[in-house]
Amino acid sequence: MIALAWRNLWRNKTRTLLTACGIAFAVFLVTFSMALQGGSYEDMIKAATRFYTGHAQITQRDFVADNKLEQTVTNASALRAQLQNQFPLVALPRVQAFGIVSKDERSIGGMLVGIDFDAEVAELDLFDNITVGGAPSAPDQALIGAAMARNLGAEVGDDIVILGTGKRGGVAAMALTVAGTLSTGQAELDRSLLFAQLTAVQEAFYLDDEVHTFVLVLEDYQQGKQLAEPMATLLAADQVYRTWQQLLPEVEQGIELDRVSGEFFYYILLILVSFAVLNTFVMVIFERTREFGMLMALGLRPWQIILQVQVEALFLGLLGVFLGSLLSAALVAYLAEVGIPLSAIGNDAAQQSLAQMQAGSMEYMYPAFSFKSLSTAPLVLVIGTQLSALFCMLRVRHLNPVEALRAE
Amino acid sequence: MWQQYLRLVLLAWVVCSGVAQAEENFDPMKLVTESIDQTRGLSSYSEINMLIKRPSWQRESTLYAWTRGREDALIRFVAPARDAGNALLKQGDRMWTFNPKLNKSIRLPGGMMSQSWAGSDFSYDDMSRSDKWIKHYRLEHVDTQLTDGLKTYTIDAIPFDDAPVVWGKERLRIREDSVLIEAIYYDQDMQPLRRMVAMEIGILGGRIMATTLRMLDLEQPDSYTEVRYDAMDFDVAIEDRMFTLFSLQSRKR
Repeated sequence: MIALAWRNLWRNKTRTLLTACGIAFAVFLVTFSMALQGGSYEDMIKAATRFYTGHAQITQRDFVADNKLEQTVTNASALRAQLQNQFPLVALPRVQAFGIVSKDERSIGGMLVGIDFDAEVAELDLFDNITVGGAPSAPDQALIGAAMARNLGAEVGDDIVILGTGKRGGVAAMALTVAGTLSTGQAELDRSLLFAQLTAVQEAFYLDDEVHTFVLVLEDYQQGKQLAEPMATLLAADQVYRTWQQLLPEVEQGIELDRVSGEFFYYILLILVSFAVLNTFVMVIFERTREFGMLMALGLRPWQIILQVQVEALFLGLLGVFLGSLLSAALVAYLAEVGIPLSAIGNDAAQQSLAQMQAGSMEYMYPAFSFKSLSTAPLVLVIGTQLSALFCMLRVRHLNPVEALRAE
Repeated sequence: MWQQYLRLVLLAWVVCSGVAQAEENFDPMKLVTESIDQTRGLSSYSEINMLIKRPSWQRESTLYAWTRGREDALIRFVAPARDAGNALLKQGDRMWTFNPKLNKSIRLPGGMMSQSWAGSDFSYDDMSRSDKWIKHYRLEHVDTQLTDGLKTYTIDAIPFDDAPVVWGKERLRIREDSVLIEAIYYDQDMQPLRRMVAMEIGILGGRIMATTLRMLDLEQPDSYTEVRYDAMDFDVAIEDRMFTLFSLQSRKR
């Protein structure tokens, strides 16, 4: 029966091939796009979190909303050591303070961030964007946004001063030398951010062993949520642990939106192809009515004929799925190795949206297969062809062999 | 006996006629202008104690301030030691701040004017726009009340459309002797955000004035900044070069 089905399939080569190619194309399109999507999500999350925000953060509870200088995580050094000992992560301490940044006659408002440069440069991508100079190595050096540098008329080596309000209302003042400028492509950051060494900023703003944020870079970004519970036992009551999903909601929302709209499109495509297959089978029944009549006259039960055609449909479906999967597997395997250069997309809007998701540091996109992306389209299409065939063949039950034999 | 009576009648007459006259042609602009000039004179020198109160801490500073006309001012911290020497210079609409540690004076950018000054509840704007009510606001007389035997005028100050102001409205209460006893600051949605109130009124440098003022943040009940004038001299001779960048940077007070 199987051999017969295979032979039957090739009675009308053109039609079979056309249908199989239709299925193959749908499988290829859907598996490839899903692989592309799946791969880019992972890269996007990684790029967005590794840019500046980290996979998770620890802050004082009210700092989230108020951003006040007094709202700090205390005993920072001890907590940092504990975090790094107990969990597979790197903890980056940060303090931040608002101040007037000034050079000669010009001054502008800016956000001064005190960081551990060695650790941050090793872990985060933001500092790959240093366009001129380098990361500060001395406590009296600063790294400033390129737009801020331009607005101040400051260049590497120039002196700038920062004046702000320290803890408990004291006047905080710092004189710094520009060690480098940072050009992230995000206007907001480039215009308002400047970085200096953690200890220097703490001292100038009268902060003790305290920080505003611990940026956590996890070994595996997906662990963020699992760590929440063990983390809670380590943290004080007024400290909160937030994962990238909370810190960068736009990334998760963007991904979710893209995924849902993508799936919608895939299912429409798959249904469309199933209908094309249905059409093929309507034609098959029509053409083979005499054949079926003869088979029934020879004593075959209708269900045997139906089974026969179902097997044919299965072969047709599998053939299409095989061709399509082969094609997309080859392409994905190649692209996963080489990567798709994002600059090739070239579209300003696309670049802008990547920048917004803080994924600006992504240069290549790598498609990645997952079980879901590999199995969805083949499964749906094999079932689709089976249903199409069955739907048409149900008529066979009521077929009268004598009439069928006479049919043209 | 009848002399006393006569005096009383006379007083009543004076007051009544004064009231009648004021009701007829009360000019809020005149009163606000007088109120501003009352605390500044042609020039002034004052010694001020400032208390910043927060739920978890408080901070007391001593400041010396010089003013000239309505436009120019110089304010210098003298205590605590950590802040001593920090100073603020105002020339018209422009402001500079001086920090002795950096030995530099810094021009305040426009965008910073609504920021808190020296960690207090006063903003740089409050320090710089002493005459803003005259310049950038339309003044409306809302109400007149009698408190402590003195007539108190409630005046709404509504900024002109093009005024460089963050507030939606300011409601002033000024006594007929030109003492500003309360100012409430409303945001653009007309919600009251801050309230400045005269805690004590007395005579300093020969003038009646609010000697202690408190600025309250209405959203944070335990936070306020209190300014107390310990000494004040009006119409003193101050050299013109007092209000220059050079003077700002010279460390002697």
